[in-house]
Amino acid sequence: MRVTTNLIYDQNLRAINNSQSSLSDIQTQLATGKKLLRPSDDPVGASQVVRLTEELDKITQYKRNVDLATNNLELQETSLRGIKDVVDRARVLVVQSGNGILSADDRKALASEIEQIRNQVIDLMNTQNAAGDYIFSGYQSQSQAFEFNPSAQTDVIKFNGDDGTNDIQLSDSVKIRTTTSGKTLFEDVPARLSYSIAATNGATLDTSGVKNQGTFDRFHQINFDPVNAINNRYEFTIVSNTQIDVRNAGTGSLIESIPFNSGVNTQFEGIEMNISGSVGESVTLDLNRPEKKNIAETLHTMMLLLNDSALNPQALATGIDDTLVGIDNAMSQLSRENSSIGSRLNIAESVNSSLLDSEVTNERARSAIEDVDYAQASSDFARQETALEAAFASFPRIANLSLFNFI
Amino acid sequence: MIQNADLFSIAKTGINASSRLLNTTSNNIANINSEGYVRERTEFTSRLNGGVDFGFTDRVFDVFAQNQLRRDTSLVGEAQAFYDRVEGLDRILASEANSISQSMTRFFSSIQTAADDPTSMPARDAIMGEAGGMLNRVTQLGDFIKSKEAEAELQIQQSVDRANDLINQIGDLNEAIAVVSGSSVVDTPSQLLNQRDQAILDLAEIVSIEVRNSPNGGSGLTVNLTTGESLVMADGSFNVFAVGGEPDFTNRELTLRTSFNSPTKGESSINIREESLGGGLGGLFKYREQVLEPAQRSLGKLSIALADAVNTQNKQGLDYDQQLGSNIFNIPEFRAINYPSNSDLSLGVKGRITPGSGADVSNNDYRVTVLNTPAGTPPTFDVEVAALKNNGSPQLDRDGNPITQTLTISAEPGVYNATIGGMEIEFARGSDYATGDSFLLQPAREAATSLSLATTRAEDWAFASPIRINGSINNLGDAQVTASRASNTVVDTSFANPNASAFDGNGGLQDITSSPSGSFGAPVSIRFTSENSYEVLDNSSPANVISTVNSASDLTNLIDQAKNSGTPAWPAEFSALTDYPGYDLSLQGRPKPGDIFTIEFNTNGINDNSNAVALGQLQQMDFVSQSNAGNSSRATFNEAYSSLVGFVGSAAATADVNLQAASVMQAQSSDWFESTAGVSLDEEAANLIQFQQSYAAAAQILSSAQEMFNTILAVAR
Repeated sequence: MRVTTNLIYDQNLRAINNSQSSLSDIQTQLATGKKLLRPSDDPVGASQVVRLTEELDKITQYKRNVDLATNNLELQETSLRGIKDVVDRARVLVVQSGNGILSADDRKALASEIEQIRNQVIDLMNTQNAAGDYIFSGYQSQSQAFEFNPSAQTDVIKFNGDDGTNDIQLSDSVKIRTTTSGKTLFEDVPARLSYSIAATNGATLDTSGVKNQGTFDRFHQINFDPVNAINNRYEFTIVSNTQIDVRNAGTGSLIESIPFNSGVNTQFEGIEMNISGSVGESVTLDLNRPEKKNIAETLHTMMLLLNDSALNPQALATGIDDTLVGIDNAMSQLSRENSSIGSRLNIAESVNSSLLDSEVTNERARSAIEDVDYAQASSDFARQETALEAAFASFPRIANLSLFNFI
Repeated sequence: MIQNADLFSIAKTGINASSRLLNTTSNNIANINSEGYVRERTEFTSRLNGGVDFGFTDRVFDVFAQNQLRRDTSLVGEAQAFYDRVEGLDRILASEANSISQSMTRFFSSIQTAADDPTSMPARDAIMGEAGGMLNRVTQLGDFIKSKEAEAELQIQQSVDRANDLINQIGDLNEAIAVVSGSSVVDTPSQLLNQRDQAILDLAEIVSIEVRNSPNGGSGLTVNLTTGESLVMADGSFNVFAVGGEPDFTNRELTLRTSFNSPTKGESSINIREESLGGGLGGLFKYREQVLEPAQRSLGKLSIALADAVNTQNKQGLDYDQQLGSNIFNIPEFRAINYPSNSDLSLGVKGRITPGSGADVSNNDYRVTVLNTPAGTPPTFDVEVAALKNNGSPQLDRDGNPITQTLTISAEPGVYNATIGGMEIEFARGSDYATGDSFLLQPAREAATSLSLATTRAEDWAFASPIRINGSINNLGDAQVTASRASNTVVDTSFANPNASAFDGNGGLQDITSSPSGSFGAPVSIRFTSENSYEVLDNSSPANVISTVNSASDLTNLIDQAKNSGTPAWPAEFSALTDYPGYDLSLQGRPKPGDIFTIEFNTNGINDNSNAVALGQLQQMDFVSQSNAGNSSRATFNEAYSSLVGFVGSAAATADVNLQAASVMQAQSSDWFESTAGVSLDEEAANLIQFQQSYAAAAQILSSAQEMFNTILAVAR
């Protein structure tokens, strides 16, 4: 091919330009540490980097969420543990108060300690977090959860919140509950199931009491009708000197025939009664509607009972039964929640460790796409540099060759 | 052969010839740096009766190489124009600071942080700040693309002007060359020819052309576009490009207009297909149509979908001021563009995105055509809505059919009719519209630049649910609430809006006096009569039983079950509204007869974060439509953005590869052309010496002839 002067210059200049631009690209890669400088360098990779970056930022946020959730749950755990400790002590005191040899002053001393415990429980039920929100108020965290009004006739302890709970998102698919409402935890505690004597038609009822609470509870749970009160009435009719028929007043059906001996204790479903009477006379008994009683209220009631100087032993015994059942039910509610908190803390921890794993994996994937391999880039740079230097060195030698120099 | 010329004339012709050769060589040397200069060579033949004939100076070049160079210049022009423009977009998307993806993530992160502590005002302020920042990123990118659009239009205008100049120049040069060619037999008007070739090469860079010799013979050249339309015609008249735009006058399109300037021939105009233009102009059009406008619409679609999703979710909650949530972002309305053939160009059609339909918005433009004359009061008429691609051609669905919808419009100010594509349109001028009027709507085009915040108050973030469910303390069963949601909080106590809900707009739910039905208030409590049967009650006292469900299969969506299978049937006034009451609840567990669950307005429930968690979840949900062809595949916001980045990135990468390939080819053909047409200084140096010698030799003939003459004279004396 005929080589013209312009051709020589053009070709050399082109080569130098190309070399310089490659060199400049590699230098930018070395300086920024990224081989993906613009989306056009690797379009599919750039798109993946955008997505991976989002994943990593989400993981950072989720880790923060896990920390917050853990803090919330631990605060609740501490409060609940505090309550459990003092109520355990209260239980001991209540059992102690059943001791027959105690005097009224001794009982008053027990009552004042129970009063202190009651106050502590109310304080713990009104726990506030660092921001001043009441943690057991449900959604109405600005209002104090429990109000104590000793002069009220009913509902000495009033709950001012609602039963709302909050969730926190720990990962794309895991959400855990991080609050508990005081209503479910403290208010929704069943009191002791009981019965009341509606009427005695001719017969005399000397004593009656629940001897076997477990059997009575089972009977109550199966047979209580929340809608029709009449179905909760049972008539104990003396049909003969040795037998009492127990009938349901609502359905009229015979439930059971129990052995009877006038003036001697007889048993029915855990209730021990001492009935004296003749044939045809009856006693009517109503199953009481299940009630819910707050633990602080239970303690308050016990305290009032112990402070009463004119206390009859029967009332004390019933009171102690009520209180012990109330305390046990409350404690089981708390320990259920405690174990739920424990399992949620475990979930948070395991989510946290899988978040950390994901973070490492995603970081590595992103780095593989966008970070430069310094070894490769440095050797490319050296090679390109050599090429450019060669182009620079050879250019003048060709440029100076001209016939005009010799004419 | 008879040679009877005398020595003098032979010498004279020889000297002349060598002189001309020296002239040509010096011309070549002097012009080595002139652009477009083609080396010349003078050729001599001998004369019949002795001596050298006049000779002919002509340019030396390979016409095939020249044509190849023109073709490759067009390719490079197209690739260069395309690459330069796309690279700008590529660069802006590369910048981390501009990254919309990052700002979206920060926005959702701030929502999650606030969800962890819903009563914290600083956290809410932070979300407002992030929302503002994210909006800034989006509008900045939208503005950038818009300015690139304006720039592209300017450049098209500039290229068209330059092309027209060149076309005129070529035509003038054709004439000039025709005149000069006739006046000399010894050389060609090489300077004019070089000028014309250079003009043609410059034109080739702008559009892809073909050059032919004039069919009339002679020295004229005709220049056509590769698609066949002629630019410079044989008789010196030519077509020029005109720039217009229909119907969108801001979007330039090209036509060719004749300029015969003749009293007998009328002017006419031809439409050209811009995508097959080639050259720089073709590259600009390709860039505008294949990269810029789709990118602009994708960004608009993403911002509409994001704003709409956040708005919809926020409206389902309760804010810090205990009010039902409102819009956070303002998605502006858009105006339609009239087609020039419309009966009255002052008529307008307004459109806006249907609230809640952000996920149906695609990249399409829509043409709305009036099908029949308006009739009745208020005026109604049929229109056809057709989906178009951004270049005006119809958008086809998966089966290859055009996407159209025919619907009846109620044409009144303030009445918006819902159409496909997630938008609703208003024909405000009632009966003024005529059959055949067409309007162009471009919902996604300007959205990214005109999005704004509807509020800057941190209290307007609705984190709580507007309702809360309370199980009565006297409940004996163990059923718990698993879900309670409000799906509709539109307040319209007159119920003119078919979307009205049971919220009375005053911090409560409707009772018997304010509900649409005169016999029942809004459903506010569920009372169980057995483990799986329940009654739905209102809040009158005593409560009215609205409906009863017996033997429910499960306890999810209790109100919905009552709507569908309750007895007596759900009140007709309730069913007439699209989503009444607008809330529902689900339980799990075993309720006992007599258990009651009450729904109440979430007054003071500011620590409720359920709607905040739902807002945070929007990041994971698929809200952006991914297809223009009408199928329902959707993607998350980040996926949509990353596919925009990938789209621009791969366009830029392809453009880069094309440019490099075209440059290599152009370099090759340029070298080829240069190798025949270029001046080699060494060759000219050798020629100089050669022609000096031949000049000296020819001059020597003269002195020899003179000596001979003197000798003869000396003899005769």
